[in-house]
Amino acid sequence: MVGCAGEKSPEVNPTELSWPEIEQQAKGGEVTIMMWKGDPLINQYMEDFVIPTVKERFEIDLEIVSGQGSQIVSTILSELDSGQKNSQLDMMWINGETFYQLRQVDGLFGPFTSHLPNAKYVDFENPFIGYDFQQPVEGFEAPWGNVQFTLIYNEKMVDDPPQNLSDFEDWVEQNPGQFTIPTEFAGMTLLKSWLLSQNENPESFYGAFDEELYQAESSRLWESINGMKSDFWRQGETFPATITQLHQLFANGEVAFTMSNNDSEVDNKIAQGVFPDYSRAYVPESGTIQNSHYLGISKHSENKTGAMVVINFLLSPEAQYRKMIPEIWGDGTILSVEKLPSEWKEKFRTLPGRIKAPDRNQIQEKALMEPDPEYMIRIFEDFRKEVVQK
Amino acid sequence: MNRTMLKNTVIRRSLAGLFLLLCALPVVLAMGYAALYSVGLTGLQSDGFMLQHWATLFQGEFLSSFLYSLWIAGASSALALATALAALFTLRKELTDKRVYRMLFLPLTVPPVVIGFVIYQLFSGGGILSRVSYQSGLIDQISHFPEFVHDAYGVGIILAHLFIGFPFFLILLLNLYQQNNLDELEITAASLGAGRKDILLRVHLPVLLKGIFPVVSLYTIFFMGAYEIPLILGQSSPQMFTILILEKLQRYSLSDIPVAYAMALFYAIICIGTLSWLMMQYKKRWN
Amino acid sequence: MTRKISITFLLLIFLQPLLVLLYLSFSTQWHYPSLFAHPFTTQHWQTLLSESSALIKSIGISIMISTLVSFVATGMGFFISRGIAYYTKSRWWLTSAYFPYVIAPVVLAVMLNFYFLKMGLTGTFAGILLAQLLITIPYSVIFFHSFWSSTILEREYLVATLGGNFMTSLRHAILPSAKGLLVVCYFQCYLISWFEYGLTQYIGVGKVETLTILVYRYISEANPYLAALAGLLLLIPPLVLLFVNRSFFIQNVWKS
Repeated sequence: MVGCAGEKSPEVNPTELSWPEIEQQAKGGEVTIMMWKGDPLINQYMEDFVIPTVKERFEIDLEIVSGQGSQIVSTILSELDSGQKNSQLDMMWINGETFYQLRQVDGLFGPFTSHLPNAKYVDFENPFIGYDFQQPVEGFEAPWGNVQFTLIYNEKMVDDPPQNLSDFEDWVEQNPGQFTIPTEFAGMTLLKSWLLSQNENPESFYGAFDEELYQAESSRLWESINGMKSDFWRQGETFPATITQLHQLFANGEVAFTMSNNDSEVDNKIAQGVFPDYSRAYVPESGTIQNSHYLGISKHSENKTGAMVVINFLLSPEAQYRKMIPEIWGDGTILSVEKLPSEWKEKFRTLPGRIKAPDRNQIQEKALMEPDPEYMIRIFEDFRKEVVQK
Repeated sequence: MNRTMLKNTVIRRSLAGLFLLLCALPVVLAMGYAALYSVGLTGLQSDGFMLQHWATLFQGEFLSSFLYSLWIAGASSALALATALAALFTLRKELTDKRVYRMLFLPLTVPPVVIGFVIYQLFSGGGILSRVSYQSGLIDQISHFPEFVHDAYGVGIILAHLFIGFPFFLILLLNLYQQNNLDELEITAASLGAGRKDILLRVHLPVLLKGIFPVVSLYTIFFMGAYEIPLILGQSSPQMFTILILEKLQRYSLSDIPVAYAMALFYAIICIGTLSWLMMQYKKRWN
Repeated sequence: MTRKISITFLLLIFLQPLLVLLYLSFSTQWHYPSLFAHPFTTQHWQTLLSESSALIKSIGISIMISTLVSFVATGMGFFISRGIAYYTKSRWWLTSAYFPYVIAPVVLAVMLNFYFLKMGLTGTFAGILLAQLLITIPYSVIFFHSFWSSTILEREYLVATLGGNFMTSLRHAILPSAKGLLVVCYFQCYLISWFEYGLTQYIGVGKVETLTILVYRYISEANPYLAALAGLLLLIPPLVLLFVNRSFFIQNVWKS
C-alpha cells in the first residue's frame, strides 16, 4: 500500500484501511484546505505551526486556499455541475449552513470521524459540538473549535453596555453613528442572537425550520432594526462588507462596537496591537449563540487519507491546546478535558486566563444554540432586502 | 503561382481557424453555458426550462445595480474627458515638452488594485486626508470627515477611474491635435478673424471629440464592468453589476446561482450590442 | 507661473500612489490620527527577504505567467491580425476580436468556468495561462490591426516579386517597421496579465497566488503595511518596462 499518495486510489475507501495504513498512504502527499483567511493570527497558527508540523511528522504538504462558506459551496457545486471527479479541495473549514448545503448536494465524504484516533477525546456528547446548527454531525465533519459570539466595545465610548435588543435601541438612539452591523457571518450571528432572544422562548427556534415562526419573529426584528437604522454609522446607508472592515472602524474610534464569533478575540487583537487597550468583550444578558466550527473532507478529494491525517492532527491535544492560547488564537477546544490523559488535563486546566474577554464558565449560561441553517440563509437574504436596500 | 495560391488558402484557413478558436469560440461557449444555466437547462439544481430567473433581472437590486454601474461609468468617462480637454487647452505648450509628456505615462503603470487601495487609504474616514484634517483642526471628530468611499455616489470609485482615464485621454487628445494639424487650422481661423473661443468651440472641439469618441465609448464600457476597484471602494447597495454577479454566484442561497448566470449573460449582451453599434457607426474607418 | 504649478501639481498626483505606498510600507501601528507620530519600521521589508516569504513566491509566479502570456499573445496576435487584415473583407472579424477584450475578465471567467473544470484546468498554472491568453490575444489582434496597411502589403509584394519567401519578407519588409509596435504590445499584454485579479482568482481557485492576488489578500486581512509593500512590488516591472522602452512609447503609442 505504499504507492504515491498524490495519486488517487479510487477503489479503496479510506475508512476501510487501518490507521497506520492511512498514515502510510498519506505520506508525501498534498492536501489542499479551503478556509477563511481573514484573520492574521489564525493564518499564523496555520502557517507557522500546522504546516511545518504536518510536513515534518507526516510528510504532508498542506496548502491553504482562501475561501469562506459560500465560496466553498459554490466551488464544490461547480465541480459537481461539470461532472468533475477530482476536486480541487481536499478539506475545508466549515460551519452550519455550509455543512447543510454541502450535504444537500452530497459534496462531503464520510462518515469518517470515528476512524480518527483522536476522536476518542472529542466531546461529542456536548450538544454544542455534536450538533451543527441542529443537524447531527453523523461523522461527516470533525469538530475543530468551539466559540461563543461576543460583542466588543470601547470602554471610553460606552458606559453601560446594552444587555438586550431594546437596550440597544435606546443606546443607538442616544449615540448616533457609532454602531453598525457587517453583512457577513458575524453580523448574521448577532442578528440570529437577537432573533432568538427577542421573546422569552429561544427554544422554539430549536428543531426544524418553522416558516411561520420565522416570518413572525423576523418582521419584528426588521422593524426594530429599521427603527434604529438612521442612527447607525453612515446613517445606515452602507454597511461594512467584512468583519475586518468593522474591526478597523472600531480600532479607529469611528464606531463604539464591534463583534466576534470568537469570545477571546478581544484579547488576541489587543495583543496584536490592533485594538486599543480599552476594549472589552461581553455577552449580553439576553444571550448569544455558541457554536462549534468543523472540518470536512470533500467527496471527490484525491487525497482523503492525507486530509484525515491532517484533521486528526488538528484534533490532537497538542494542536488544540496551542490553539487555545490567547496570544495564538484563543479558540475554545472541542475536546472533553475529562477524557484526556492526565498531563494534558493539567495543561488545559491551567491555561492562561482571559484578560478582557469574559470568563468561559460565566458566559456558558447565556449560550444559545444555533438554530436550523435555513434561518441563517433567510436572515442573510432578508437583511439585504428588508434593511440594506430600503 | 498555383503553389503560392494554394499555400495562401491554407494559411488563410488556418489563421481564420486560429482566430475563431481563440477569440470568438470562448465567447460563444461562455454565453451558451450561461444561457443554458440561466433558463434552468443545466446545473445540479436545475428543474427544467424556466424564464423566471430572467424575470427577476429587471427589478429590485438588479435594476438599481445596473443603473448605478451606468452612472459610475458615465460620470467617470465624462469627468476624465472634461479634465483632459481642460488640460489640453490650458497646458498644451507645456505638454508637448518631451519630459512632461512622458510623465503622463506614469499612471498607466499603476494597477486597479493599487489605485483602489491608495484611494481608500487617502480618503476613508480613518485615512490620510482625514488625519490631516483632524490635526489641522478642520474637523474635530473622525465622523465629521466627508464620505468619499463606500458612499452612495461612488465618489472614490470615480476618482480612481479619473486617475486612469485622465492621462490616457490627454495623451490621445495631444496626438489627435497633432495628427489633425489643429495648430495650422488655428492660425488660419485666426487670420480669418475668428476669436479664441470660437476657434476652440467650432474648430478644435468637434475634431477632437469625433476622434476620441471610440476610445471614450470603449472606456465607458470598461468602467461599467469594473470589478477590482469597486471591490475595495464600493458600498453595500446598490453594488456594481460585476460584483453583484459574483455575490449571487457565491452566496448562501443556491437558488441565486442561475440568476447570476442570467446577469452575466445580460451584461455580455450589452457589451456586444454596444460594440456592434459603435462599429456600424464607424464604417469608413475600416476600409 | 501658474502653468508650472499646475504641471507640478499633476506630477504630484501621478506620483501619489508611489508615495502613499512607501509611507505605509514603512509604518506600523498606524492608529488614528497619527501621521508621523506612529513608529516607522523596516520590519515589513525584512519579512520580504525571509525565506518562507509568500511575497517572493508570488513574484516568481507573476513574472512567469506575465512573461509567457505576453510573449505568446503578442506573437499570435501579430500573425492573426495579418491574416484578418489581408484575407478578410468584413469588418466583423475585427469587431468580434473586441468582444472578449471588452467583457470584464471576471465575468468571462464565471461563464467559462464550466469548461475549465471539464478540462481539469481550474486551480492550475496552465489554466491561468489559457484564461489570460483568452483576453490578451484579442487585444493583440486589435492592436496590430492598423499596422497591416497597404504600405506593408506593397513591401511584401515587392519581396515576393524579387523572389523572396515569407521569412525574407518578415526580415526585411515587416520586422523593421514592426519592432517598436511589437515592444509596445508586449508591454501592454504584460500589464494586462500582471494586473489581472478577478479572472485569475476565480479560475485559479486561489491556488495560483500571483502578486496581485496577494495584495488583495493583505487588504482583506486589514494589513495595510504588507499590502502597500506588495503594491510597490507590483509597480516595479511596469515602471521598469516603461523606462526601458520610453522612446518606443513616445513615437509609437498612437499608431493603434
